[in-house]
Amino acid sequence: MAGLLAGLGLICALASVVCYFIILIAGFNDGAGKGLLCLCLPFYILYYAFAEFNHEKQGMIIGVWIGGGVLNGLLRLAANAVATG
Amino acid sequence: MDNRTSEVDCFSIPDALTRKPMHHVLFGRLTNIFSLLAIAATFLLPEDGLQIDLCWIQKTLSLPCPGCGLTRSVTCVSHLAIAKSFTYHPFGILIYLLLMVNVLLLISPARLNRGMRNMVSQNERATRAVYSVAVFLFVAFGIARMTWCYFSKG
Repeated sequence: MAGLLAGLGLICALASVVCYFIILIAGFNDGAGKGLLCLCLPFYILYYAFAEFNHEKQGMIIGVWIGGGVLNGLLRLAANAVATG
Repeated sequence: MDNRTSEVDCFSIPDALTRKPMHHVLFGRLTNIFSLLAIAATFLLPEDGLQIDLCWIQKTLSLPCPGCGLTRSVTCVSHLAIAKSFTYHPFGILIYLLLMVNVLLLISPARLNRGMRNMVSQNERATRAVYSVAVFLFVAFGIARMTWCYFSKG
């Protein structure tokens, strides 16, 4: 059970990271400074994603990016809880 | 003939026209100001950073993001520790050069700025190709490092 939860968490994390890369590449395409800010300034990528990121599937990408990250965290916590009993 | 299709064709904007010009991508105002602040910070920060982990990927996945080590790498270049810079992040030196060019353009006379803009505009396609390859390699390095760390941790 713990393995299944951890595996699901990994899938969510993978989807989240893919969406993160899409936003990051869009940032670099918008400007080298924006790309570097997305990398180096912790919350700038959140601002960029909501305010400036322009993509035909914008909502889905932001949703998977944030939702995947949150779900990964929750599933990992659940997996740890199940494993430790 | 389908009128709707012809309308779309008339009003659709070619992809090349919606793209930002490369001089704006590389040397835009935001990039200029960010570069100045970043270069100033690199002289103030210690080579090994402040040991504060702000990366959300590192925190949630325990894996390094493509930018992990970049600040320390760029800081090492300012402190003339080039070999150490390369170990933190191989793209640090390249990004340091980009930041320095931006700082120079920010403090240089307008004529030099125009010259740079013209040079980039004249070689728009080549500059875009080089920049795209650099971004691709940067992201590819990030993915490879993440994969390596994931499997090496077991």
